[in-house]
Amino acid sequence: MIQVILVAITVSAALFFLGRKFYRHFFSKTNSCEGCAVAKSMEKTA
Amino acid sequence: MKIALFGNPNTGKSSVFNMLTGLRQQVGNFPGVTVEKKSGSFKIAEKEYTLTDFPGTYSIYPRTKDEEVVYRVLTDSTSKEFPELALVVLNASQLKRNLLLCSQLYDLKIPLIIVVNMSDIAQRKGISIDLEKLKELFPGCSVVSTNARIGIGKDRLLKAISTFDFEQNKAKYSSILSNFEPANIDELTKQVSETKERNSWIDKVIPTIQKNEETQKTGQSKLDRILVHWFWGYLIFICILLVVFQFIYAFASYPMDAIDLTFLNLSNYLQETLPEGVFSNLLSQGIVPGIGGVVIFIPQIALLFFFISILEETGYLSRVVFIMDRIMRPLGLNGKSVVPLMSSVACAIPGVMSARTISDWRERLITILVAPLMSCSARIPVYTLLIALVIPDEPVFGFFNLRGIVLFSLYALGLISALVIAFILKKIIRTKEKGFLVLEMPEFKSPRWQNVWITVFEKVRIFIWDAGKVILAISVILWALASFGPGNSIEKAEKDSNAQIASKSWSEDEKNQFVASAKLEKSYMGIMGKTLEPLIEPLGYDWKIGVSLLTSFAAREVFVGSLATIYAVHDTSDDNTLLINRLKMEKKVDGTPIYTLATGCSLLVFYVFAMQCMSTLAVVRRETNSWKWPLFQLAFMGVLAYSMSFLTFVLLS
Repeated sequence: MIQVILVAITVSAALFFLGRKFYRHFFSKTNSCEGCAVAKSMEKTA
Repeated sequence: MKIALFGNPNTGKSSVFNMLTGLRQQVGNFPGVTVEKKSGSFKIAEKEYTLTDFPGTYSIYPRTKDEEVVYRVLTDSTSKEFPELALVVLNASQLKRNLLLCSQLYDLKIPLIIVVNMSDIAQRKGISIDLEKLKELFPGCSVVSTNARIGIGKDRLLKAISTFDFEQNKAKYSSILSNFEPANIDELTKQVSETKERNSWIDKVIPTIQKNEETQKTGQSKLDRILVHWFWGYLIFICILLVVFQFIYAFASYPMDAIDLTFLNLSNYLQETLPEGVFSNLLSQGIVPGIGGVVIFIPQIALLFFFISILEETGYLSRVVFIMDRIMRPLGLNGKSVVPLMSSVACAIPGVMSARTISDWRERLITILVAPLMSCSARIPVYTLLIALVIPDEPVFGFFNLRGIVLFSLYALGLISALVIAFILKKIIRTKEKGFLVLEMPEFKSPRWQNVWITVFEKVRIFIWDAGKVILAISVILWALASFGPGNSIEKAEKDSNAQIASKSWSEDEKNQFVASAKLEKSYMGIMGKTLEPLIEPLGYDWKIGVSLLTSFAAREVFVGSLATIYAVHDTSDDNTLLINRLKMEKKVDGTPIYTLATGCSLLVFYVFAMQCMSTLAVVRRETNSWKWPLFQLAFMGVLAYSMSFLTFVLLS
């Protein structure tokens, strides 16, 4: 039973990690481009 | 205290940044290495300083998107990013050109330290700079000489930063152009007249600060004549690439075999020692083979970046950029596309980002769309596994190896297809502007081994950490999909297959393999793969390859990890069987091998063309600010990959 629970936790964690990565890549507003100065300057122009 | 680092491209700003902060920002000797600002910090006597490295620019007036940030920061003193102190890095061997930006910063009355860098190269060229005279030209500023590449002048620079007192120095500031007000970004005429005025001032002052001693033409220019020659230049480049790929094959195989065996033993050890159960299976059949599928390629990735780094450190890569520009121009491509395309050989993400140096939007878009066709380092695991699987280990002309030549051909195919597609896109998306590559040829120098090792370490770390996490997560999910099925379908498959083999005179191993195959086919993964199979059958692939192709949409290197997991679940033999041997033994229903020359080459071609990288798609979306272009890219590269693999399979079958 413990093994089944551990598998469920591991698979859920893997799904959560990939889902979060996908969301951050494509949909998050604060993506990894926080340091992107060009994007910031373009925002200012807009 | 906020300090900003400005300077022309290729003055060693990133080296100054690394020297002060101790960070390992990538340095390069061609323009476009820094397209985003980068920040780091350092302390002097417990006082914290934040240092920001801005993209290289010849003037405060921008010509490209990446240069706009410098203008915005410098012309808005209310901005949060406006520096309390600016370091302007000058290339001692190109002082005349570098003084334009320096004079503009001075006239903006920004607290300024002038860093005269690359003093070693100036010395070799017979150029001497009178630092005192330079200081007199910019009263109120400090002047420091450095050779940041090897850390010379760090103490002098730190002292200059810590003792700089702008309140005291402010009064000493004079003006080079009286009543200077920076022109607006669109006031081109005003910008040109200001630049002319500054250049005449520079022409006047340069003889007072710079002395040129008569130097003989060095071997440098003779070497350059050969390395950028229209025939010898390309031949030498091809030979260097061939040698690099030969080395990758020759030296990487020993550590790779050792790693493969270690993970196999670990997997067997876990299987034997852990109590029976699903989690034990997950560890031994899912996680360990999945991680092994990543770690095994460290030697090849490390070797590739070792050679790339040496070529860059010596200054040869800049010559490559130059000769590539010569190929691109007749195809009507923008000269500035060369650096993004060459950067994409390491990874398409920095390649796509460095396309910001291209001012014309359509030119930039074409470069972004074709950059992922250049063979990146993530393709190396896939290429090497498949080449080792289907290409014989035979010598060619006595000293080359067929496998190395095939690897070289795949890189060449990526480059040629990028050029051809860019040429076609150029005809469809008509562009008005013609951009030119402005490139300073750096001096040839012996590689700095510390930089080489740092590059290798960083690239391997990124490969392990970034790709490793995704591969691990996908391995876990794949294992679950391969181990479970709807209802009691797996138990039923086991029962049926056991009944089928009862009368057969097979060995125990063959019987176990048959049952495992039947169970796998009824699992969720089997159902998924079988649904996909009709689509990929014309390319010569079976459903297991199909599942690996599907999972590798996250990242190309996932393909190998996925195969490792699928075959670990499938494998029931007691022998230690390496992944490559498992793949070689894989047979179709009629007993013929799955991985033939035709299937292997078809897969190789698929990976040359397919857009199998979630991160690149995300960066393309960010850079184009639209979903349309990444989806278009995914579609056109997918169609290209499918049709070219189909053609390859048909021709070789």
